[in-house]
Amino acid sequence: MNPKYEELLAEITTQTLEKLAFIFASSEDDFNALILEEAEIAKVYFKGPFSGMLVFAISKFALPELAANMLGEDDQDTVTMEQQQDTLKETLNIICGNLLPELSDKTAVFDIGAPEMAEPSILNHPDKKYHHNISASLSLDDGSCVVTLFIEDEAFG
Amino acid sequence: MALNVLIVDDSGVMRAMIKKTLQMTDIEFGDVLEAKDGQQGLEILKSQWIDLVLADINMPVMNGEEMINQMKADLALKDIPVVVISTEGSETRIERLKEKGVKFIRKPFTPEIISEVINDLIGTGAGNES
Repeated sequence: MNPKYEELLAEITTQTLEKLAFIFASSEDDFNALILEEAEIAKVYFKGPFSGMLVFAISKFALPELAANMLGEDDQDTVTMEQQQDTLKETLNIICGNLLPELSDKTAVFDIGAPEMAEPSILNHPDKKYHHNISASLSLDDGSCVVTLFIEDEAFG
Repeated sequence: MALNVLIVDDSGVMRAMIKKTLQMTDIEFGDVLEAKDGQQGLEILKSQWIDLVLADINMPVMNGEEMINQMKADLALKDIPVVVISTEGSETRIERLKEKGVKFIRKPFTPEIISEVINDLIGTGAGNES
């Protein structure tokens, strides 16, 4: 798989987190491996010139800050779990919407489904229908995140 | 004149973000109403005076494009300015929306972009906060 795809995934995720929530992410070597059992995970399916799934996993303890910053709340404790999960899903939705045209022709039309919460097994044991996966691991000020793109089409890339 | 705004987005967090962003501009807003899909948006449009609609595209029940089509087919609603705020990246779809006379802002957005597009559309004459 073309390593530029990983760079692109990291770049779009970094820009999204920065613009949405003033959270700065870095893909440098000091990445602390994300423990999936200690992460909140969301997934979204898409169909178009190529089809697949995008998964966003983030440290549980990093999510209140993401949600509070997006909502403009000073106090992270006032942010509900529902708002945190909504934040995670919306962030994933934005990453997906910005990523797909960059991986394809910009006139290509993709149908992106509704993001939903997921279990760690989605990353540990992905469906065999996915022939490719591209992943970007990023360190945050507090915690880390991993974004993984799964692609069904064998001919991709 | 204070603008009454309708925000149509299935994400509660995104509606809250847009609302917060509106407060950061120096445009004077009146009532800021919210709907979680196009159908709910149309119901509000038919019962309240709205000066500006900010709508997402991908939503359950009724998506933003269908809502805009129904607005354009309704004499009472067809002239209400619409700004689509979406993750949509396909130039094909964006062009199709622009042909309906709507403005387009891609997520993620900044308060400056929102302010600029609304000023351009409504002609409020207000400048950016910055």
